[in-house]
Amino acid sequence: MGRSRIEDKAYTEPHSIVEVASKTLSSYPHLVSVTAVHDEKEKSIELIYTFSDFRGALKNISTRIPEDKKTLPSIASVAPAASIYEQEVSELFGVAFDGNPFTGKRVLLPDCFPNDVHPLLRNVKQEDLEKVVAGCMLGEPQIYVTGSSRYSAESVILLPFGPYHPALKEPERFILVLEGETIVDVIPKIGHVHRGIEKIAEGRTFLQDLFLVERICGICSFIHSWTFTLAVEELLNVKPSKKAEYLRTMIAELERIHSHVLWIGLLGYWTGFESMFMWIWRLREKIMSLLDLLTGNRVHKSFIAFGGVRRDVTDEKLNTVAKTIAEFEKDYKKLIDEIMSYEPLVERIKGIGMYNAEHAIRLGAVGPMIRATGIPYDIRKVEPYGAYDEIDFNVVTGKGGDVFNVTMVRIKEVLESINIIRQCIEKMPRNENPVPKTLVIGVVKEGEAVARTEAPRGELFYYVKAANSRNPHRVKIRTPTLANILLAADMLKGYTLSDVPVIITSIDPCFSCMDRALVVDKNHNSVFFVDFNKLRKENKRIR
Amino acid sequence: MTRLTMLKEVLKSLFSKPSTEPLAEVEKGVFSPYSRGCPVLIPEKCTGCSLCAMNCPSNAITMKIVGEKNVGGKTLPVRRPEFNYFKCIYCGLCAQVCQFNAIEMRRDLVILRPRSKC
Amino acid sequence: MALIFEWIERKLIARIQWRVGPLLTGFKGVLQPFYDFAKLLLKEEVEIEGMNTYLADFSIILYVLSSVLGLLFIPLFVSTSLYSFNEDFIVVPLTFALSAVAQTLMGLSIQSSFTVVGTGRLVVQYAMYESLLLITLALPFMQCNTLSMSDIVKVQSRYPILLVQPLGFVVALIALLAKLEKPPFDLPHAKQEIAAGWMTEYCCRRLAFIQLGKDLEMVYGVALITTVFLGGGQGPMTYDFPWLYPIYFIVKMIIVLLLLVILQGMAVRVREVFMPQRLWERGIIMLVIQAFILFILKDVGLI
Ligand code: SF4
Ligand code: SF4
Repeated sequence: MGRSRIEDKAYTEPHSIVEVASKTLSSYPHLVSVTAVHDEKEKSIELIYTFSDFRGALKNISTRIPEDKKTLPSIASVAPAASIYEQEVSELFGVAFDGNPFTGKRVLLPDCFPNDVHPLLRNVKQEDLEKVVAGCMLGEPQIYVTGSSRYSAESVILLPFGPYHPALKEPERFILVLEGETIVDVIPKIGHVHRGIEKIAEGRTFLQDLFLVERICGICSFIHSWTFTLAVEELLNVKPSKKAEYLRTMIAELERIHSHVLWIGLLGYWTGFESMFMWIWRLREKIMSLLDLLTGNRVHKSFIAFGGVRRDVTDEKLNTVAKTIAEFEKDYKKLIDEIMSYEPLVERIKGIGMYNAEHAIRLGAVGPMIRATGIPYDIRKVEPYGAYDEIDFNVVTGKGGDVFNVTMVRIKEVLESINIIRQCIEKMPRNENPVPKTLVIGVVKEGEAVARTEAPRGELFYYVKAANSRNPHRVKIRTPTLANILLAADMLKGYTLSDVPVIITSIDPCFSCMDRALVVDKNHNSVFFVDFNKLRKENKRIR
Repeated sequence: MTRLTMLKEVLKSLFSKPSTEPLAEVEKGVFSPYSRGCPVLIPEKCTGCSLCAMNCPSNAITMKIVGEKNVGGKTLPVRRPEFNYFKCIYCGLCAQVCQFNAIEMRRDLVILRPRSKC
Repeated sequence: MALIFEWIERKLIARIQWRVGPLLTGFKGVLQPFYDFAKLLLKEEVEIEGMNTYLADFSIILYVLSSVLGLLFIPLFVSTSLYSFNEDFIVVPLTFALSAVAQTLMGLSIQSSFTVVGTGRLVVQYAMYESLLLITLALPFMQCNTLSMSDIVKVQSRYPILLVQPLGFVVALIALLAKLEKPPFDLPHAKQEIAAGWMTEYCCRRLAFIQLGKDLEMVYGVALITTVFLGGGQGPMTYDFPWLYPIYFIVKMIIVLLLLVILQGMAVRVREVFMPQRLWERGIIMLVIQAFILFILKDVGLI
């Protein structure tokens, strides 16, 4: 599971979508994604709203709008999480959503991008887009606006946080409105690392795409290719061998350890505890060398193939893994015990950035963020894929959302992952060949499939549509960071400047994943404002 | 109390060997023993089928015409793949898809050398 | 000398973090700080729009000179310094004030949001550490009934004041960290929060001199503590062999530096709101206890 072919879409008329959505939300409270698919033959755009409950059931609601009249009502009033997904669709496809709080603003595309070009429409060519982008880069840079009439009072300072900022691993901009040291508002602008991966994917074969999606993120690269593989395998109707499933699970868990440990180390960096940063990253090196040992690469593993994995792993290597993991566990437990009982650190993260479960669900949070509030929502458990259904593990939950709980969830998940890896090594069938006969897959029959997995940062969602060709017709990727970003911006308000790095990064942001969808990777000199007031009115503050 | 444990950790680190690997090791530019290596063509085995070039994820392979051959009275160009090692991501896919094992992944070559010290 | 101290500090911090630190320039990287300094000097100066260059240059010079001024009055080589006069402890608060003023002016000569926030934090921090540091330094002078640096060194020829005032020494170290803006008190230029704080808009030659000023400030602070609490270069056999004095002095300074580095190594940056609590609540209580002990000892006539 973890994947399914879409067969039972519930069709609705565009004007009644809000009604249907609010009805669906009562039984499927989590909005996974809003996917748009352009069909150039029928001259229409199909919108698929994917909902899920917290036990693994998915519901797809679909609606169609004609190409020449691209408007429909926004469901952001019933599901606030939809606002950012709808905005993505509206910028990439030119669909207008009535009542979306972002309407009229640019969130993903650069400000200089022409209003009438919508990159993901099928009739827009990739070469043309390159020209458009090159042209708009040559134009006059827009004037740098740091003030807005709303904040003209003397006592207020506007502090740009990014796009280049020492606390962020990747370029992204948050404008902080400060009153003394307290934050009264946050104005985000995402999209500094658009690379147009969804568009590029349409122009390459499935096999080539496998390597492309892996490069969406430098930290959780394997899970991206795995999710894509799950969706494609569903379309092809192949099943990998048992050993391949176990190997994939093992690599994914190693990757989760490496991602979480990286984050915990960075927590030290963000709180100004640089020794902790170095100590923890030293431990992580063990895991990296294990990944090197198993897959041949430290970061982009290129390990997976449709119907299996690309290289077999000998028993000898598995023994090394078992040994190193045990060593790692010992060091890790000791170090973490010491660090997490160190008062000055705990004081910095306890009670910072509080939110509650209801709030997290409304804003569509996923992964450790939602588990920290006590909801055991983990795709590995609710919709097992790989070898997870044969492995015995617990879903780690926290006791209410704040940075401390999120940290604890991540720390315990590392231990849980170690446990999973150990079981994988034990239960792995030894004399099977996990490498498929041929890697090339050729033409894929028509069909749509979705796949969901639990990436280190949360639920990762892929939608793949094939149309009897070598290339996919549409690949839609919804990454966990995009789902969490609304919550992060919301958590900041009311805390002090000292807490900003800790809070923003508590969602473990991976901006490259979030921005994957478009064509530009150049920074540009303009700032603009998203009106978060409206959004805030809808979601009453919890404090 | 917790401060004392931390102090212990600090002192321990202060007097232990640093875990950084010296730059000299990196400078040799060798591939890690587990890496896939670097694709090299074995021209005698290659039939010029272009399968590798079609599947290369980074389009690092171009098929170059190296000569002509005579098949049934017609002259056909003979093609051989050529690797662009700056585009290559060293994934080893070409070696795996080639039906004739005409591409070898070698670990003993030094293709990219890190820049010398500053 | 200042730059070599920077190297020692960088090396020690690196070892705490399991790294090797500067390695390539000179023996074990000893020339790295010199290299950095020279490299910054050779860079093209970038003039930022809206920058008050005269004010910036003036304040940078002031900043560097304030520490040099302080160092002049510390007996570095023999037990009386060249410029000493009878009440030369008075110069210490002056140098502190001068360097703080210089930093503030530097921050304010360009008004970008980072420098404004950074300078704001700097001023608050100055208001807090200065009183603490001065009280801790004043207590030893009270103990010896003197206001002169040379006297306090002479008094300590029998035993260092550290033995009588350990609490004062600890508070002095912590307050010194706050003065030097080292972790955990690196709020004015906390890079994860406000980029480089008050230094954000500086580069090249100006930045080189700011760095130099910081290193001098560190040497000055460490030398001051060494003089006041550890008896300067006094030690066994300094009467017979006066050339031992500077050697002892440097060794003691390195020990103080090591303590500072260890404190830094285990530091988590404090949140701005906890700053007064950290520095005052604990620091002042320790100082009051220290003062009590001191007065009792004095009454009893032990010292
Ligand atoms: S190397 Fe192999 S796959 Fe490539 S053209 Fe030659 S025979 Fe074909
Ligand atoms: S190793 Fe990979 S990227 Fe390099 S030429 Fe072969 S297929 Fe292309």
